[in-house]
Amino acid sequence: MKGLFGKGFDLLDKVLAIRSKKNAVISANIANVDTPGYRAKELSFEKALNFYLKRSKKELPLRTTDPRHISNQPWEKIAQPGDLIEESKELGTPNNVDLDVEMARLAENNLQYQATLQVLIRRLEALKNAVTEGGRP
Amino acid sequence: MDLLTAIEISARGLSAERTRVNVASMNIANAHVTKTIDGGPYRAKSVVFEAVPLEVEKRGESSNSQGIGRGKGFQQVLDQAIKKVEVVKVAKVVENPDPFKEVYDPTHPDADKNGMVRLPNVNVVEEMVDLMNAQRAYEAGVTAMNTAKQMAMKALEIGR
Repeated sequence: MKGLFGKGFDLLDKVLAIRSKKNAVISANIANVDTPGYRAKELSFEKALNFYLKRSKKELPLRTTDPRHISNQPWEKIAQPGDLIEESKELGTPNNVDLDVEMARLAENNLQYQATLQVLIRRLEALKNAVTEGGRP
Repeated sequence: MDLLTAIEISARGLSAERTRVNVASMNIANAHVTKTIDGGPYRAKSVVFEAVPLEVEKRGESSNSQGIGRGKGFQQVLDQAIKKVEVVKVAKVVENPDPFKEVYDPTHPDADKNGMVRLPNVNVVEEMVDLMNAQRAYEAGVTAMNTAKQMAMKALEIGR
């Protein structure tokens, strides 16, 4: 994205996408708090964003016309379904969901989401300010 | 829209916990029932939960504007990752195989010839504990759902 909306908007958009996915994963852990044999899952925000940043550094992706072609996008190799989501290995009774940890993660993720959103809103406001020439009538 | 997915996941959890509350309430309500349709006293029941993968509709794969040449979009990678998420489902309601309690009460209409009455194998204390557990899990689920709602509401403020 070039022009009015710079790269920053794109990044904020991806951060919000990851945060909302992470919220879904934590919700699933909380919903399964009493499911026997369930393994708690975690979507690592840093890992996910790292994939995105590594990818966006490559300006020109190699053209592939077949899924077996070699790609120069490193995160594609790792990004098999579920690779971004890690499952904890330890067993528990009835499962290894720690409700307190999950609630803390939920609150943290929520705050981070809101903070990112605030940044996005401020940026848009600044842009609006510039477009309307500082609110000149 | 993933906040709505989160709300749906929480909703499944809430409905599973509600089933558990219902079954525990049923057990307590039937704690002294000696006649059932199947004959014999009431048998305590318990809920079995299982985790099933969340069916995420494959959005983006058919309407993929980037095409195969550009490789997968980041959003699609995230969507694929989220397929590993499991939601809770009530697998079945099982009957407790424990033996019935036997009480000597010859005046009871269901007493056998020795004057013993078979009462349900409901342990009221256990049921109460189960009820409280379910309540706490329900509250946690409500909090998770509220968080997702709050995030979605906040996102509506963009550009306001």
